[in-house]
Amino acid sequence: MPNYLADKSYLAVKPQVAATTPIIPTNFIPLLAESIRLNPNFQATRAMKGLSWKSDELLKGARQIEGDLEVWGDPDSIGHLINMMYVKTSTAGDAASGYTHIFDPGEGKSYTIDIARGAFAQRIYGARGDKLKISFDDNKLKATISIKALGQFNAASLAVALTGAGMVTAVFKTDYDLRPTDGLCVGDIIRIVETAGTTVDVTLLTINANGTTVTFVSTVITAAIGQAVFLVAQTPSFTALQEPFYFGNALVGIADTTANADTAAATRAAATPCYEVNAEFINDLLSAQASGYTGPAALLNQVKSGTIELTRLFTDPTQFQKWIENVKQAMTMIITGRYIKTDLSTSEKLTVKINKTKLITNEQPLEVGQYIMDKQKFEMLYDAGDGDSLTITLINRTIGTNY
Amino acid sequence: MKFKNITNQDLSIPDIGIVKAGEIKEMPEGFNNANFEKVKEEKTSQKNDES
Repeated sequence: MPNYLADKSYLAVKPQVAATTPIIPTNFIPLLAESIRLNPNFQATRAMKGLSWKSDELLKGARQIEGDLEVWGDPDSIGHLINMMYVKTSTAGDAASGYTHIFDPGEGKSYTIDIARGAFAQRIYGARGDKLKISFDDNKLKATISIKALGQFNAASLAVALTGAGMVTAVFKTDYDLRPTDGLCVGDIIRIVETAGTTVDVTLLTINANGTTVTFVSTVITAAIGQAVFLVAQTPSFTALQEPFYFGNALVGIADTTANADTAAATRAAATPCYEVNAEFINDLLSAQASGYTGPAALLNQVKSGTIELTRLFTDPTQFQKWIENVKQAMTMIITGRYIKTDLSTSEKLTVKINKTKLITNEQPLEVGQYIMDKQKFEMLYDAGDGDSLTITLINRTIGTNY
Repeated sequence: MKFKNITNQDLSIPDIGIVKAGEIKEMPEGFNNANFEKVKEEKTSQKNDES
């Protein structure tokens, strides 16, 4: 049997038109790490049935599909992660100057995500961002998104034997789900195991509405009931990937108002030098159960929030005063990337504008031989005066319809 | 089997190289990517010399 190196895997994503309708993903993103797992919540059933052993069977509980994806925050890829979290309200611009996408807190798009595991793919659909963390790892922007999803397809088995020439349908067993084909798309290639070591690949023509049957062009296949069926991984393809945003090109403006924070973030002279900065945006998605669904029927935004952790060299007790007196501080972070326009008049740019923050904690720990730092944690707050909490603006090379 | 890059972007494919937007290229067996579509080979009809 073959073995597979994880480096040959990939992450592919694409926004769906409807939350419950998967689509074959076409945007391939280099993946640093992932921990997305299907949890059928199997539990040993307990019942009085004449046994002194704990249980003789596992039964399914409510299904969960969730975990983290970790990628470098390059200008094009990070747009998809933000799009899973927040609503894109507009896109302006063109290929020559770059596209400006504006995201506001709101319902992010549902995504189909493929993760290749060896020659096979796990298809996750209806995926949305629960939490997005952006931080810098050795100068490079790293983005980690925690997702929740409605469903997945990875493997199934035949419920009806395939008997040779002229096979055009495959019917899947329903042990995992009464709708085992959910997650598959027309155009997917599935691999049907005939016998150990012998397989046949077929391209799906239809996914029947009954959720158990798929069709393909007439093919010679001989496979018994129970033989395995897998989703075949795509051959990955990458666009001209940009470098990640760099900490060295990030400016953080902190001021009493949003306008002043914007001004401060516009120049290195006016910006606040930060030793470390990271931010976490939270949707707190509710996995809404409903009759008719083994997993969640919908993923609903609950109360949105966010925090910023910031470390900077201590100069005076100003921040201590702002902390104990609970003073509002607006914050704008602008990270500039490579130039887009040939006359160097436009650049890739990620702007995170937080209308109001206040310090939850502010510490200046003393350690022998170390400079004193302000170690701060801010809560992102809704600003009643601005009527807004945050806005993320992304300028990149990705056309708006891709989001 | 030949495939066409149906996106408007040049795509880099591991162990194959860059395929330009709209370019048609012979791909190895098992190639499977939704940014590409199979190009149907034109049937070559054998012309009989009737003279």
